[in-house]
Amino acid sequence: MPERPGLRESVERIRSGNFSSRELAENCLRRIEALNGKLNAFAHWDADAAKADIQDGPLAGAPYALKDNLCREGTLTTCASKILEGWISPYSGGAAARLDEAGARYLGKTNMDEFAMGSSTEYSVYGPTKNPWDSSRSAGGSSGGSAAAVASEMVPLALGTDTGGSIRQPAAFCGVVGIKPTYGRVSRSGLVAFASSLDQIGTLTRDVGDAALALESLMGQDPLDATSLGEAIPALQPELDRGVKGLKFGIPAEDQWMQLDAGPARVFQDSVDALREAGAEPVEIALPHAQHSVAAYYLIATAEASSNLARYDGLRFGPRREAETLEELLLANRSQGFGAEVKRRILLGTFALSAGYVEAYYQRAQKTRTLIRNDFQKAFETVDFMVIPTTPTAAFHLGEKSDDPLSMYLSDIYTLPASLAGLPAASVPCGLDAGLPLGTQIWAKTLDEAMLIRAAASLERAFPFGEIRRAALASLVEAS
Amino acid sequence: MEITDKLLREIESLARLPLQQDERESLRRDLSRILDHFESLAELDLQGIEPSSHVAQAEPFYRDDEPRPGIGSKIALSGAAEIEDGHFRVPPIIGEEEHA
Amino acid sequence: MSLPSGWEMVIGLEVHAQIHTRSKIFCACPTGFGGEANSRTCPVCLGMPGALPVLNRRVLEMTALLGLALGSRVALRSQLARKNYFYPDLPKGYQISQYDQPLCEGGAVEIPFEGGRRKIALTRIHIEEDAGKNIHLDGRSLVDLNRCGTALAEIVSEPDMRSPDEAREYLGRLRQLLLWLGISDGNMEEGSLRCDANVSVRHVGDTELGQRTELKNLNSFRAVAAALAFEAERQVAVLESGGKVEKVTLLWDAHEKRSRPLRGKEESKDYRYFPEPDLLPAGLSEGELSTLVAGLPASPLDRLDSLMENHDLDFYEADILTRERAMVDFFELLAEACGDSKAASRWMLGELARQLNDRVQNIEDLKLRPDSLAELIVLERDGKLSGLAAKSVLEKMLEEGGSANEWMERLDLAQLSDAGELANLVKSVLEANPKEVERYRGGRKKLFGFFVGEIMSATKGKADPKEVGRLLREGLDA
Ligand SMILES: [Mg+2]
Ligand SMILES: [Zn+2]
Repeated sequence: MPERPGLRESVERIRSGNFSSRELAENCLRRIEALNGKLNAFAHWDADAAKADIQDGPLAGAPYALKDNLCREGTLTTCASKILEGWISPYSGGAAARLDEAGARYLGKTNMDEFAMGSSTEYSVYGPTKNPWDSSRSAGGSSGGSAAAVASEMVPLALGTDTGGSIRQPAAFCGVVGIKPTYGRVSRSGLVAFASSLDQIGTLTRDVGDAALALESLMGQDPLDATSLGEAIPALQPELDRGVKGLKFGIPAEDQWMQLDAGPARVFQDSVDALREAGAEPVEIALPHAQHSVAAYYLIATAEASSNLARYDGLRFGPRREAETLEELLLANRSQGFGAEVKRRILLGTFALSAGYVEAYYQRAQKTRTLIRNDFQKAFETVDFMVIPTTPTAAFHLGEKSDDPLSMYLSDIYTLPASLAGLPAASVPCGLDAGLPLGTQIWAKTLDEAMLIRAAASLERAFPFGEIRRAALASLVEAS
Repeated sequence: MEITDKLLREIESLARLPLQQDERESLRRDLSRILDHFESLAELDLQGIEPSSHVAQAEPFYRDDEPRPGIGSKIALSGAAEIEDGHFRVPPIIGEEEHA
Repeated sequence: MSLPSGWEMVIGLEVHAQIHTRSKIFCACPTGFGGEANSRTCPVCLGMPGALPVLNRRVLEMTALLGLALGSRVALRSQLARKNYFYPDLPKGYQISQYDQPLCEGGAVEIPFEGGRRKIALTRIHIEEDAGKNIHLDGRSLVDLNRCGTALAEIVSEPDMRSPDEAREYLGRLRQLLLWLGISDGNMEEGSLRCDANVSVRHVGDTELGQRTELKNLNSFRAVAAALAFEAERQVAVLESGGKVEKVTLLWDAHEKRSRPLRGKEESKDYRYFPEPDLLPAGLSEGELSTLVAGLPASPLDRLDSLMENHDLDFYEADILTRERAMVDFFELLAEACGDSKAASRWMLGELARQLNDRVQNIEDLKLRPDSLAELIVLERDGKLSGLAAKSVLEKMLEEGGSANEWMERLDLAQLSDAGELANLVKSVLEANPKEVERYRGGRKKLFGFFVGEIMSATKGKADPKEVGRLLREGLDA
């Protein structure tokens, strides 16, 4: 019997009285305390979280963690930034409120890149999160803490946020399932904004079924988020066993934006083969504008970020520095409060919006985004879902890219197109390259989370990855 | 696109984000290199293409004009480093402006 | 104050009007004036991390209504946009406003002009959020965010005005319409109506615009007129002495009666507008707009015309009576009920206006109904109430309601005009004062007043003075 079961099993066993939700929470907290020194997955947690007993609701008593950019009333919310040091959110965002209503138990907040800006969870005031598979490597980012926490079984469910791949890429690096639903499916209320038109909350779980269960509680319109969608929420769990027989799936046509090394190429081919064996038909799909995703994404995301992060001035929250005049104070708070990558992006975005450049940069990027969306619309006229690698490589070494922002940005190429189009996307672990996990991504049409889960579950059946992960991470298990 | 030192200083000023002298040169090079890469967008024919400011394909919804009490000044001020008489206190503002 | 001949001024106004809503534009915090600092705030209007705006439907409705009344094109889908700048009363570091796709475009404000009408064209009307307030103290400033997030309509005119008087008239007519439609309370002292101006001067006959300056802080009608005149004269003086007008923003100092350049560094403004990603394009449906159009009341100027035509009032009377919708509604009912437009107008502009002013009351809050006032007017006209008594009755009706007849009875104010009764009274007064009668008849005509006074005191002032005079003359001169 696993001491720390996944989400569905946790709920079932709490319900059946096999163990209490308190016992489970205590197990998780012990695990966090034992492993966090090594992995740095959690930014902070509530040591008293196991006090009450919770039995009701679809997630009755199951523990969860939030990324440190998600507000929950009365909890520290710092976005791993010095500028929000000590800030306690006085309100709960939509996602935390829904999990609480569903009976899930909040344990703490996970580490991340500052303001979700990064792909390695190295740009954090808490220090980098380590990959549970190899502590010299990155857990990915920016939801690296959530991915590492789930992979190392500190918690069965962690929420992440995905602006350009920040759930899917760390999920792939850590060998867990990461899902970003359609933009607008999960309320962004309480998500500390990085890039508002791209940010989306999603799940990191051990398997697809756990994600389906959590998403059913998370999705739905929120009167406090005007971009949240009112469409009916599909039942996701019935999709788990439907299989993909008779469906068509797209695979990206070979072109300049798809260059894989032999290892990742082989793992991806295995995924395609597995889906074919499950009865689905691959169709080569051209996405002629996807190669411009990095440029479009980084211009739009940084432009929005430059505005979203203007509120951090040290006047109403966050620590304050000494200054004679307001202007000096503002400059001191901001220049000392933000880290290097955040500064880089604020300045890039300010440039992209500034007079004389806005047409050539921000506006061109928004139009390019339309072309990318159109590519997808056309693609989904012929296929039911698409598959693509999540990352060009397995987890890189800590420090390997942190001094080379452009190469960090370029490594997001496979996750960005779906972000720009607002599509639902998942990363499912589906193989190892030199002992490190790789993920395959699934993209579905807008609002078609049902298809996403159906395809992801089929892929998962071909690779019983839970066993592989548990075996590989046995040394971690022993540590607690 | 080469970001000159002068342009970078203008951007810093707009963003209220002054860089240290030692940060500036490397950031200037990073930004120039990143923007060079982004020049690929210039090749695209974007004539007549609408921008995608939003991807949510939804009818907008609005609030009804129903007031509800706020969180109260005590909580509103709870994160502030300096308060005075129920207000956020800031150093003197040089240059005043009525705006909106 | 006027410009030297050969020069003309060109004025455009930007007016910010607080829209009368119960809650703020993007959050449910209550609106209001005064109160404990920072008490009407929430994560949204405090700009807290993670909080998102949701647009108040009434703001769209009220602004669309204004646009429809002014003949603007009202967009079915307009775009909210972020205007980025740093200021401590702007907690997000940007104001949610509108930029290239405002809710309303075009239209005009019609103003009375040299006996006719003139249209001042509008560029646009857009919605946006108000900022908070800074209080500047010694060595520090304090920030109150209660006002932050109050809904504003910004009404931008074309540079279509040529004199301070015209600008003042434009602002007055715009304010009148805002009140008329219930969109804003238009209170300039409390800042619910604020005005900025763009001013330039040029030689008469020139078609190009001169370099303009921006005037801020015009907090009253008087300030608008004074500041514009001052600024235009300043610009002419600069140009005539061979100088160049600089593009500056000036603050009007109402106390010193002069403008001065905004202090602080004058940086080029780059607001980096872009579409607000947190809000989808906003607008009302065609159906909702037609409902608004159907509910639009006749405009103040139309009602003014109708008063002049159908009630034979002059411009001055009709203009005052159409300041507020409730006033002209009251007037028309009153004129109909009493059948005398002139008397109705005289009463409303005279005694009623005075009473309302003393009581600081609005006509719509009155207990007094038009038909009660009509009754009063008729009683006075028919000689049943003296002018003085009628005023006392009006006072009672304003305080406690009720009808004019009722109060006349209760206060025993009915005028004594019965000829027989008065004749007896005159007779007995003359009999009681034989010496005075003799002296009167001997030429002391001034004693006439003495007899009137005797009769009035005997009747406690209720005797009809006209009738008393006639009877006295009869008795004395016979
Ligand atoms: Mg404005
Ligand atoms: Zn509020």
